[in-house]
Amino acid sequence: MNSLTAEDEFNRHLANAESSVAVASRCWDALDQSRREECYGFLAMAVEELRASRSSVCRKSVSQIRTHVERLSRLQADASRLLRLVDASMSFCRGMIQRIGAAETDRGASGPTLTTEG
Amino acid sequence: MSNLLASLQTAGHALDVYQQALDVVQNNITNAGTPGFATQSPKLLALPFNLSGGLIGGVAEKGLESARDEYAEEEVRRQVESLGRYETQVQGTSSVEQLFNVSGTSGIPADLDQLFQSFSAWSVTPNGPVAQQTVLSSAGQLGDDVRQLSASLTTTAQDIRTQIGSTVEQINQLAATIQQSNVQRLKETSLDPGLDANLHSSLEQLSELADISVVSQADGTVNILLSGGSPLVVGTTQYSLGASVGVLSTAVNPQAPPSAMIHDSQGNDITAQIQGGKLSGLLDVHNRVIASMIGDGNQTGSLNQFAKTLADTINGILQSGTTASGAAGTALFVYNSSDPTTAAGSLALNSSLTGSDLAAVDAQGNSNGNALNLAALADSQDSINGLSLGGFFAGIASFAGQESSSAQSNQQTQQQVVAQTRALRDQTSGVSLDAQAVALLQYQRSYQAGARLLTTINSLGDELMSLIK
Repeated sequence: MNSLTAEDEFNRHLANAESSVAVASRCWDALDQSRREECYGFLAMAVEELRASRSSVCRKSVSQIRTHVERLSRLQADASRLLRLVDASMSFCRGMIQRIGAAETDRGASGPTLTTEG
Repeated sequence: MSNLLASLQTAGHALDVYQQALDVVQNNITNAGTPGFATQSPKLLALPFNLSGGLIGGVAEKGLESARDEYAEEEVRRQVESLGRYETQVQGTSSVEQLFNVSGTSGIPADLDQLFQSFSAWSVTPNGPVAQQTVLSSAGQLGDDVRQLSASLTTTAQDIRTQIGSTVEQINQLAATIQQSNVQRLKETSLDPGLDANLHSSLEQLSELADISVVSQADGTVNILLSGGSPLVVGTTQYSLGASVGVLSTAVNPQAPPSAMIHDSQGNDITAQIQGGKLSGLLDVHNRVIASMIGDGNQTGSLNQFAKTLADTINGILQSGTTASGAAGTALFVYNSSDPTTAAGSLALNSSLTGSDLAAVDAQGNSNGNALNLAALADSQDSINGLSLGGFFAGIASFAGQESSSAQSNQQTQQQVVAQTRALRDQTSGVSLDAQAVALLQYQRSYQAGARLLTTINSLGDELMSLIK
């Protein structure tokens, strides 16, 4: 039985990472917690697969450099696209939280300031 | 008896108030699909109750409260601005990309191959009329196609300038609508949901066209500034933008294709301030992408650089040699050299040249030396900016393709970002501040977790690339 070469291992882990990022992108939904958790699960898998790819590379040199670089660049581009969506959501929340913070200061510590009919 | 009457009076008044509240709900349902409409809710106020003091209690309506959150609206507009920019970049760069044939089976790459092949065949029979004629016809075809490409790029630039003019017109029309809305708002004592819906719809349409800042005033009006600070609407006054084209008198290339410019109401050039919206995408394609090829007041343009180098290199070799009969070599190509930006648009075969005028003999007296030198240009890696002529042209075509591809990718992602931001706006609008704060903190923590994972993926990608390189 033939054992897997470092090249085979690298390719296998990279393919798994690519597929995980692709599925994570499809799962992403800024407003749906369960979809987000599903998305993060796939992203965590992609991280593990990339760490495994790194181990394969460190054990033995991997050839076909150009193909690998292209694949890694595409993977990073996919991750960056998803990161833009996540960043946009974060930016929205950050601004809203600041705005609410500003509103809170107008409301007093015990809740909204009550107005009475004059 | 008076207590009973007071109670009936209170109940009657409360019914009126609740009827008004129902009308508001009905209005919300009717306007669910109205652009810019935000759900309204009646502000109900408990009236003081003290019978001995003549205060009979009950409920009163204190106007309407809008579910609109101005921060969320601003976020949507900011993302719509970027989408507008990418949309016009996609349209413009796709038009440019289509003018280049990257396969090499036709157009300029094929013409170049054909010309170099004709030089090679001519080197075998330097005095052969057929080989000489093939050189002339190949050179003529290449000149025609370079001129055609330059003309097509010029036409595309003209189309974009027309779009810039109509976009500026739309911006001024929307600014006029907002100015009218301000006039109307000053006449109203309370917020009119219809007026507010129209205003926000206009603001969103305007943000698709240009990057704007909206400053709400205490009197309910809004001031609109371009992000660079130029005013569009201040209170009840509108400041119109203008578009023009031209080459500055101080330009290095006075005959260059014109640049597109945007002016404020005072006539100041504010082109550099336009950084978002469709207008910025159009300006980018016109003043950066196309200008980098056909030139402008301050740059030659890569296509002109290609045409000039092609002509000068081939002419230089031919003019350094002689014909079989000993006559001095003549230029194969002609072009307008009065301005570097006119080279591609005027490149042509020297019409006074005949086959027998082609100087095949080099300066050392080799009968086909010049023809061989010209054929060798096909593989010369140092013809222009460290590249072959074919390689340099491929770079121009590749630049057009990359710009188009990058714009398309940005547009697709931005469409998702806009949809997501609208959904976040709708989710958070009309929710109490306390509920919002809790939900937003949870969201933010969750988003941070996702961002960390994605950043780790990109770092691992970098690390892997450095390991395998």
